[in-house]
Amino acid sequence: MESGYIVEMKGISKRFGSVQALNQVDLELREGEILGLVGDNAAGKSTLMKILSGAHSADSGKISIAGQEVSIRDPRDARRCGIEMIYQDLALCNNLDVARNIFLGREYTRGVSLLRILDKKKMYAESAALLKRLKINISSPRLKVERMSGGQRQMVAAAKAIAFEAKILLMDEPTAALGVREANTLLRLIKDLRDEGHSIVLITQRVPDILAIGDRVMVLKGGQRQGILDVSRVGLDDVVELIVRGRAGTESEEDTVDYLSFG
Amino acid sequence: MFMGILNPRFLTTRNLVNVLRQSSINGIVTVGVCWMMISGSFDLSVGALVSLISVTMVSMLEGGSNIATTCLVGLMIGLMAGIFNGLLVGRLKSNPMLTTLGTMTIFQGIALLTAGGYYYRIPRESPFLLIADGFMGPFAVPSVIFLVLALIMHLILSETTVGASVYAIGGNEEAAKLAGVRVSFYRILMYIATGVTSAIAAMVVSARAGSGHYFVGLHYEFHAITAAVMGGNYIFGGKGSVARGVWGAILVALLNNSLTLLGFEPETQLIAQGIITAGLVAIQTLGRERRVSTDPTLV
Repeated sequence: MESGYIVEMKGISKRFGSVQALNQVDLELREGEILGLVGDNAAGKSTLMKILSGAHSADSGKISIAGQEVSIRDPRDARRCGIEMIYQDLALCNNLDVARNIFLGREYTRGVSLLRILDKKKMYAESAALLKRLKINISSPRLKVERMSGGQRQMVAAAKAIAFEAKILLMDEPTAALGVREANTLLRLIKDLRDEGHSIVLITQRVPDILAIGDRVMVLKGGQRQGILDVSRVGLDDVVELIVRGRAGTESEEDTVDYLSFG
Repeated sequence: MFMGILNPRFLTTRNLVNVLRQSSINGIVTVGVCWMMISGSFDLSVGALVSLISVTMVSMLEGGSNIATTCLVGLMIGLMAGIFNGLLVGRLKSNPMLTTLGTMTIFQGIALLTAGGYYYRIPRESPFLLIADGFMGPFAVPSVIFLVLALIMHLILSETTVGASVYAIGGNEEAAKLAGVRVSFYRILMYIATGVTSAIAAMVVSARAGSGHYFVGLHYEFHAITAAVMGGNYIFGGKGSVARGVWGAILVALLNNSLTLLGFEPETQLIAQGIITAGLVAIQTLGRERRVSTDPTLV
């Protein structure tokens, strides 16, 4: 990891038809930090993270993980790089139970055969242990997701991402649909995960959340990076101003970052 | 029970074994359709495929081909038809209803082109006829084929990664894809399943009729959907089982059997099935609308 970053995205561009969703965006994520990713609607936050998670592919740009350039073409490639994403719409199968969701696509199996037989006992046992470790209040891993509250579903989505010890977690507005108590529980979990050594990108519209638990915050506007701010040195107004007004027109990005980083 | 009171012959062992036998051809098609329905898709081409495979196989038998080669050809047609449907729906993302409506017409057209109005005949001495006429203990061979096939397909669905993926795709295709499930591959696999089960059904129906003609599989897709829904499978995907399909196929046979014993014309069976299917689909749709109105994530 020569650069000191666990994730480096350089010059990422993405166009959907006539819309330029991302334009030459860079992102650097340090090991063991929470990086907030903020911006207005259509700023390109989710698109950038979907490129990192393999849900979209970039039109141009490079991605490096721990200093090694990688090609991420689909979610399986991302997982191989130790990246997991928790999507805004949670990406859970409501018809399945907790354990089936956690292990979807990576089920434990018994024996070696063309038809791989599910090791249900192991999946339920490990799911129960995971829920306990993460202090998630769900009575049983056999509970179907459709019978859960929004907060519980969010926790299951988080557990699903964490189950396979991913080093890099991408979270797309995880607290958006939660009440205050559930949001606080989730924020505490995210902080615990950072303390355990996970590197986290947290997309959010709720800037106070990122100021409460984050290390740095990156602002996107109109598909362009506006700057990265050090959370310990800025306040809510600084972040909101950058979200709303963007960086000053002719300044170089590096200048802007330095200026804003030191408040 | 109600039928048993109306007609004492209904509850005799002989009649119930007969109902199981009557349900077997539809049941064989239904187990494939159940997989399809659970994956959240449809295959309307199964009936026409039964006709096409029946015509092909019986014309081969009439021409003197041996049984193994004939059956292999039948299975290959089912396999190829499944791959064709699967590629269109799974890879090109074509609408499954309209796509399989189109392939239904193609298969029906080829069967008609091959057979015209001609009834191909299976030679009277051919052991192929044992597929319909033979017995294993008290059970007719078609019933045994149906139940063994259903058991295998039930176990694959409930105990393997194939089943886990199929339920996930039916519940939330996008979530399954993001979890790394190869959605296109499983879509193709589902169409292969309905293709192969159609081929097996074609073997049984040809042996039972002793002949092959272009409309032998008429309405089979509808009977199978009726059975799958009557058994309790969810038309929007993600929920259900092969066991429910088996139960549904038996219910359809019981319904037909009851109407026959009560002296109704055979055409009444189709009307009754239509009413039941439309009613059950409406009930499931209303239930879904109600749940979605309280929780939009429960689509």
